[in-house]
Amino acid sequence: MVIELAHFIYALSLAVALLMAWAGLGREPLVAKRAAIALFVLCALAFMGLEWAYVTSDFSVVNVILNSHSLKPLVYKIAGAWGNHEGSMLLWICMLAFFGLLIAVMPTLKDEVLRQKALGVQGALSAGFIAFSLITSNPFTRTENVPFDGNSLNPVLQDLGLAFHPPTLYLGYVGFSAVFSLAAAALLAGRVDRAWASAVKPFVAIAWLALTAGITMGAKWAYYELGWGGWWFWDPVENASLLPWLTGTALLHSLLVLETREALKRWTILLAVATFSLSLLGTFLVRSGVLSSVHAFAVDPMRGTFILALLALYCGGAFALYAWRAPSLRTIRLFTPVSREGGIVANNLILVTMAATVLTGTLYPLVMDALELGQISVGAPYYNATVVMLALPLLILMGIGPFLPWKRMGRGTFIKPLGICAAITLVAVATIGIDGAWPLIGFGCAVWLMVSSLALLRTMSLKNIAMSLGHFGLGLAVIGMLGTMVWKQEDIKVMKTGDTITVGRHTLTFEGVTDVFGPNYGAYEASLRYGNETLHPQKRWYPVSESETTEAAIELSLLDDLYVVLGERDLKAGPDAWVIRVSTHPFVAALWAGFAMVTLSGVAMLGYSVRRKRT
Amino acid sequence: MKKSWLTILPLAFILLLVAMFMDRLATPRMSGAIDSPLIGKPVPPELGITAKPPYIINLFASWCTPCAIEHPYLLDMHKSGIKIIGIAYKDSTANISKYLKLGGDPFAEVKYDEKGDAGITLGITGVPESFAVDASGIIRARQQGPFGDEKSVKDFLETLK
Repeated sequence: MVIELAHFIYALSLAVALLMAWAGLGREPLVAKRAAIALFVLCALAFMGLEWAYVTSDFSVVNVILNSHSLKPLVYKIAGAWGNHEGSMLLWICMLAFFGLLIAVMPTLKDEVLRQKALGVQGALSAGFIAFSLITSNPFTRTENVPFDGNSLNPVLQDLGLAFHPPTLYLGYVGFSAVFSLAAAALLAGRVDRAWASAVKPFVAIAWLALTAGITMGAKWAYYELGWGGWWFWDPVENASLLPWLTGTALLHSLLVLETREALKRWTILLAVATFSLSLLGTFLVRSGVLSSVHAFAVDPMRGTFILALLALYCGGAFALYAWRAPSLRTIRLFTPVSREGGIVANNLILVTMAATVLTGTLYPLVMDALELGQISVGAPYYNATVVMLALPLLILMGIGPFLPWKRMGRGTFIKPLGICAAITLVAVATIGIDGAWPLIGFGCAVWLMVSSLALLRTMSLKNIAMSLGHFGLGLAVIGMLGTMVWKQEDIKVMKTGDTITVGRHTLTFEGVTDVFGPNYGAYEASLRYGNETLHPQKRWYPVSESETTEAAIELSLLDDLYVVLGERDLKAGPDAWVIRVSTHPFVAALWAGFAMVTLSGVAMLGYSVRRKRT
Repeated sequence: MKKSWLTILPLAFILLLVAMFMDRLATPRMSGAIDSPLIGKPVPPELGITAKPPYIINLFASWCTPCAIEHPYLLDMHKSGIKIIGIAYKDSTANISKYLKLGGDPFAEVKYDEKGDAGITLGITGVPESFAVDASGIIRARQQGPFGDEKSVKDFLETLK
């Protein structure tokens, strides 16, 4: 009964979304606002209906059979609802409706015409995706042969960080829908000005910080759970989340120029439209099966065609609107290259070039295949050679930009502080001493960025703190990246009880393997003595889904992570001989701390972008 | 307005992308998804099947309703001369002989897997499941769950050609 009710409510929400689109794009501002509120309530109720089926393990619902199991811990039953295509689509739509609600009630949005039109666009977006969900991927479908139990969730996905990684990421992707709607509304109304920039900023802040947090959680999960010791693999789906992040970051900065100087109008609108378009492209790539990836959902050509139609409709529509209206948005303000605006333009150019580079790498195999030039895969070497090269000048510029004054060619004001920062950087890098030219340059750029970001705090304002946090965090993260890329050490050994292994500054003694049992798995667990402690890497076996996972034992410290993985039993070397892999990853803590700071800078930005409008 | 044509570029790019993706969706291809790690590999010797390939391996049980639903398709296959090796999954000889007496026997040979070891070897998620083995003894396809219609049987047998 609950399921039928939720299903009905879901169908009703399609009608409400259509009403919202009609009212918003027409002349009914009040109807559009109320429809936006109603839409969110309906979508939230529908989602709660699906959660009800998961929590009570209602195996008459196909989606629950395929993605849950009665033995699963409650929190994973709840998370199971969005661990699959249909359920995650419903969550996606809930967020679209949530951002519709935000547009309807956001106090920083002063222009009612803009609000109304943006609600119309958001309503149209919601309607398209609800139709997609109802027609091709309905989560409420029932079955007649009700099984005794479900097929479980992939045990690799049974991890708290991962359970909340997709929803956070969706919040980011979908958050840019509000930015997209507001950009389309601005084009429709022909108004792109300071007020627009201030109104859009909180939405950009929410979406950007959620996307940053989502990507960080994904990277952390990959590092701790997959047991490969890496945190970024340039997988097409990872790239799909990086693309809107890059253009979103560019947008964040160009909005500052628009807000302060009413310049870069067309460019900012273009970025706003492009960022959500890239989110949609990512959704299409993941869900259509066009690319093969570890993240891909089950392949269904009907779904791919439907999303492609939505992509063509929304992005095509918005870019057509852009082609038609943007020429009338003239910017007359000029600025010199060495100014804050000049710095932000350079930052934007680099970020967008990075996005274009990643997009090229991601789509290249598809283009090659479509032109029948053979099957090619683009991997880490391409990205390391291109993106890293672009990152270095970006890091240097990020240290300089915030010191430059707006508009005019500033002289003495920035030379002195920058000179001091450069001197500190040189001294720091020279004292630490690093082997190899590239690591040295990378480390130097990171330290430079951190020092100059700290110097920004001479004037304490929320705005400055946000900027300093974001830039400093990135510098810190770069040091972590260098640690995992350049300075990591590794050894693989077949070990018997009593054997020792030494990697870097760590020595471990192998003490054998025992059998242990968890709630829904059995495992081999190795014991390795390390100082006063014992580390326990595991190899788990989940009988219900008949799959195996590797649980690395990780000893964290500020300086480096010690990473121990239990491999296969090596019967040739003896009955109790096991393959053990030990590696150290220096400064991983810096990576997570850096990413956390970047995310926090988004929170600070949200804080000041909402607060300042009230006064 | 010398530069205004530039604003059309993003639209042109997106249309080009859409056209390319349409082409990709329209061309059927191997999805890249792996149905079973056993596909393309020889039949595991642990199963103890000595019959000469090609044949179909079908895991079934008398307690399994979907197996009964699938049964007519197996009988049809048997009639058209296809060798089917049955593996009775977690079931007793007495129950199986009763089951086959009632419904007809499509199997060239029936192996008994009382503890479910063969099920683990083949990595099944339930019964029924079927595996198509070609003339050189290589597994070519896996059918998860019962054959539901003529087409599913045809597609399955197609892999042996």
